[in-house]
Amino acid sequence: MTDRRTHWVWAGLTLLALAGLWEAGVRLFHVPPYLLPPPSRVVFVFFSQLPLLASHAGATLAEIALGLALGTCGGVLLAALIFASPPLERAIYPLIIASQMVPVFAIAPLLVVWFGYGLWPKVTVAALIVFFPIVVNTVDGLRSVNVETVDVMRSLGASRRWIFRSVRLPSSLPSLFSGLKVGATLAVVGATIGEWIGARQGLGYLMIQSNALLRIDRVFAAIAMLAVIGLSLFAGIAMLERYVLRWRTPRQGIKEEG
Amino acid sequence: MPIDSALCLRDLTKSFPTPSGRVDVLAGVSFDVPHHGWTTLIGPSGCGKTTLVRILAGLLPADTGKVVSRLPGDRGRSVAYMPQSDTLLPWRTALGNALVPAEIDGRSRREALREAHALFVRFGLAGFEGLYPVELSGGMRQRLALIRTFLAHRGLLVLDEPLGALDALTRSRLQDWLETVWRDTGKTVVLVTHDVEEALLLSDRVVLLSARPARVRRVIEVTMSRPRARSAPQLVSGKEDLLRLVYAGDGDD
Repeated sequence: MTDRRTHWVWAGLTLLALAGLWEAGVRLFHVPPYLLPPPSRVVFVFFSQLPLLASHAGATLAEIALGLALGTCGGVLLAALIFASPPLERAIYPLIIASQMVPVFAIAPLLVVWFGYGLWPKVTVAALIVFFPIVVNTVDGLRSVNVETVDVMRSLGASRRWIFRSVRLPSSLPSLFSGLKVGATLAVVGATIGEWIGARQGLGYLMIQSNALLRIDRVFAAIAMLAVIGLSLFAGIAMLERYVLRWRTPRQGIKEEG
Repeated sequence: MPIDSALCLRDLTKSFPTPSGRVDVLAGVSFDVPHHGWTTLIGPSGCGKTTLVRILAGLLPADTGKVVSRLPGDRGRSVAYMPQSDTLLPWRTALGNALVPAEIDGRSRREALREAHALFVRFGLAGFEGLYPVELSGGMRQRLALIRTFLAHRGLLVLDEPLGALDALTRSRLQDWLETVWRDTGKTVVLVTHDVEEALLLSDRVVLLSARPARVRRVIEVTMSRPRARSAPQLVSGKEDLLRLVYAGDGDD
């Protein structure tokens, strides 16, 4: 616990130091604020325009949450199918991997054509990127089960279904959470890019608009807001992970010897 | 088939394909397992004991030969198997792990809880019901796995080196526990071990296997009265003899 806390302190200090350097550099070399505003200006804009940022953040957050949820559900479902059926695995798994060679962003404009400027093109982009790490990690997790544990359960007369639900699924949770953490950061990227291509609201939209007006301070404020969203999401998933996988680390002081 | 046998193994053979051709693991293994008795399989490492117990547990078919069972129920449902490695479910508490067999069988939870509680007390795990396996020591985890095996309500327990990874002290305590619980429950036990003392301490019958491909080299009846003391002269000299027999088999068989 103390370890984790000192970690954060160090990261915070580094961030402050970098901001200090940036501030000093901008002032020293008289960089015009429409090229690179000093961090103090970004902080000021962040708080003075918080209502505007928050309303756009709401739209982006909805896209991220829906994209993450859909990508995760679809990923887990497909992973279970791939695991359960070797023919399906041979037919689909290589395609899923190959599909990652096509940048999702390349098809984002198509999604605008198909679904318009609303919520769904962004959700789709986010879900498509989240999907891959979830499938791969869950398939790995389902396979990582101890073979002898399955033997014991079989010898006790457990059905395939019972073994899947009570042995394989729980033992895949640690890798599913690894996938989720990667997926959460990717969902933020996906939603933002989706908004760049075509949107009427959202932080990505605000960035594009502000950029065109040379309001670079607001671009940075929007980036900071995205970072806040991404970090909160990551922290939330990490907390959920610690709770769900609480059986992985001994509680303090009760590890018994002998 | 002798009248007092729970299980008769006749001419079991098994081979596995490898990149360099088929490897014979069992080359006609035959022996009987007495009802309510304790049978121990002993032999050089890699001789095929694990293959043999997996066949006994109904997890693997033999190539040829047969296993005749007088145990109630078909063979898949009459054996509780405990392999070498830790097979507890890490996301379940100690109690949750002990209740797995009852859950699979669809037995009443209340009855299972009562039984589990009694065994937790006997195996010195009372008070640890709510802990996760990661919070238990190696010895405690093995005891928990044994409790789960007993709670499976099977006539035959097949134990593959259940105490192999434990330190000597924990091990001898567990041997004593195992013996008393076994005597009280009247189960039939097949144990795999490398430890000749363990074999003589616990068994009614020791089946000595040859190096791979495994055959039965000798069946030794152990008639010493129970409970047996590790320091009893009979046991000490028996240990020497058995050890010599095990080693002798490495070359001259």
